Amino acid sequence: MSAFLLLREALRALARQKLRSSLSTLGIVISVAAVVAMQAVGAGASARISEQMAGLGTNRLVVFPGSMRTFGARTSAALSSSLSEQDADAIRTEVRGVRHVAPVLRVPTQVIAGNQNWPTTVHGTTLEYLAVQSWKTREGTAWDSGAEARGAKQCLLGQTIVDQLFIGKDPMGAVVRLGQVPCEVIGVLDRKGQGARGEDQDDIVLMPLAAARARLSGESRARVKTVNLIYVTAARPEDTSRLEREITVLLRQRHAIGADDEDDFGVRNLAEIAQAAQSTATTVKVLLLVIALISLVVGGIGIMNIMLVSVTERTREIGIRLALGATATDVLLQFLVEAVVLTAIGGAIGVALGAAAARAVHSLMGWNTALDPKVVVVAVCFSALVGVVFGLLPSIRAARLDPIEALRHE
Amino acid sequence: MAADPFLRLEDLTKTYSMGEIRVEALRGVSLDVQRGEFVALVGTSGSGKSTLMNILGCLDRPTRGRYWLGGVDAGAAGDRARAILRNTRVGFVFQGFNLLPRTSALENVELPLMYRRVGGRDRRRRARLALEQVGLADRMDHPPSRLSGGQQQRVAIARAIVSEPPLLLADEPTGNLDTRTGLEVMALLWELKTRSDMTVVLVTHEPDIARFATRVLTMRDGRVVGDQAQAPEDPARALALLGEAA
Ligand SMILES: Nc1ncnc2c1ncn2[C@@H]1O[C@H](COP(=O)(O)OP(=O)(O)OP(=O)(O)O)[C@@H](O)[C@H]1O
Ligand SMILES: [Mg+2]
Repeated sequence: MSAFLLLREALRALARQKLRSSLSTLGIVISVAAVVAMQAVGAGASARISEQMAGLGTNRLVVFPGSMRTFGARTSAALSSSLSEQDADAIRTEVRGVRHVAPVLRVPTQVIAGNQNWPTTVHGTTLEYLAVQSWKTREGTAWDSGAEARGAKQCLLGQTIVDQLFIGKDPMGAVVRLGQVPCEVIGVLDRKGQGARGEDQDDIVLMPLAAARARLSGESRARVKTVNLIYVTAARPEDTSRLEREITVLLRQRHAIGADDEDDFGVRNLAEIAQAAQSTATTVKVLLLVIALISLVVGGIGIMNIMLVSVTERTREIGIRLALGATATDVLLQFLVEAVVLTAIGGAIGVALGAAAARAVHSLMGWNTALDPKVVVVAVCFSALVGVVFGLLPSIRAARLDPIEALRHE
Repeated sequence: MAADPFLRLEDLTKTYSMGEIRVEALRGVSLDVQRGEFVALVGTSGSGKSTLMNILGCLDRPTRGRYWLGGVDAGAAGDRARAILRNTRVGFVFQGFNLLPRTSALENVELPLMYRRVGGRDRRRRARLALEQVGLADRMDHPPSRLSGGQQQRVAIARAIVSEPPLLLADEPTGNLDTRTGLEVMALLWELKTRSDMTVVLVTHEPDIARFATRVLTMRDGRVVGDQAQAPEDPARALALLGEAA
């Protein structure tokens, strides 16, 4: 029979059993929809990670204390931190290609304005911090270098602090108390929103490092001026990895770490973090894809099952066709085309559903989704292939029937 | 030797074996049938009539012996060759009609042509013509479930003759029909046979039906025990008589 006739006959046969056909192809529909939706959402997520990566700045390094490579695991151990302002100075003077160095001392503090108060973390740092973070003030300006040098009691407030403490009031020029220390508000930072780990980046107070150390940390007279973090940026992004290595060597030397001993600090390349996130996303995507393909195969087994039942039920029909001159090949093709049409239609419906799901994710969650036409083609072809593979056994069974036996079948 | 007969059977045997038990359904049937004969095959139940018909129709192969259909050694033909023989040289009419359910009369009749790869327009034209010949021009779109038994059998006959096969085989075609409808079917077969040069072999239990044949073969225990030529009656006349009696 011609391809057109085979197709028409297959569609008619399937239409005669609408409910059964739709139920049997449901597995295919769902798995293809899952593949397509996952791909679209996954591609969107990758794009978002890339964006964030660009936002993080690929030329940025973070030096943190402690040998554990977990970011921030030792923040509470601020006083026992192995990093110091002297380390920061050494990086600035001894490593080539450094653009900014911003040491940060973090002090958890209660901020009080009038009768309102709010617990936050004061970041004692240098002016370079704003450059490293590409952060700007929304109102006012940062302290000047003179204020930085003498440790003036001036501060910049994050937007969250303003929202909490200055409802309907202008914070500019106000005096807030950081713990016991009165401090002049000289500016308000731009809103930054959530960080990569969901933390509120606007819940912050910035002040000169010297002031934070002298007034808040209570260790002003210590010989080693510890800090919690040192941000470093490279003048050229391609130098970032070299800087990472040189800083490591320098600090090991400064901390007098023996050749066989572990670092008592860590250097994190933010580009690496972004890459790690990207590769995690890819791994998850591949895993989900594998699961979806497995479910496609399971769907195929469902199709095979239904086709086997159908061949048994239609034995008499097969007998009639054989008596009228159908060859074994005709019968084989008839059932094979039915299976393929069933799975291909399932695949097409799945693509439509998956695209709709991706759209829904896009409009509900605001995630970017990107439907790749290649994936659509592959999904439909693959489901048709599932039809061929799992339709083959029932079709062969149909083609092998003996005409007389088949005609006698009740 | 005269011209080859249309059908030639030489010492055909068919043995069914079911485990230990062997059933000899045919025990040596030799027979010639000329083109244009109308043969009635009669005999007791289990005598091997259907078995013989299956072999004649290339649905089955003999265990031993030879069978020529129109000069082709059909008994020795492979599966594919027999499928093609069935498609091009044989039309079947069954006792149980054997129409495809939920498929219109027209599409049922189109089936043999489909397997012969006749194009759509030509196929429909010929199927319509066949249905017109059996008097069902106004029922073409009906599925079997909306046709009477006699109408279903006429669709089956249309399907059997649509590809103009030289051999028409009918295994108890009137077995499921009342007397009058049976006569109508016989009249139709008779008419179609006289119009073309078809050879008809028909199995029947009823002597009433066998009288329309030109030759009656009687079977018993897998053998042909009687072979009688006769002057056939005209089923149209029988039908008319039946009308008068009523
Ligand atoms: N597939 C089969 N397997 C085993 N035995 C069979 C098979 N088909 C037919 N037979 C046996 O072969 C013998 C002849 O059967 P067949 O159907 O040819 O008889 P028949 O003359 O058509 O009878 P009826 O008039 O009742 O239709 C019977 O004894 C039957 O039991
Ligand atoms: Mg029989």
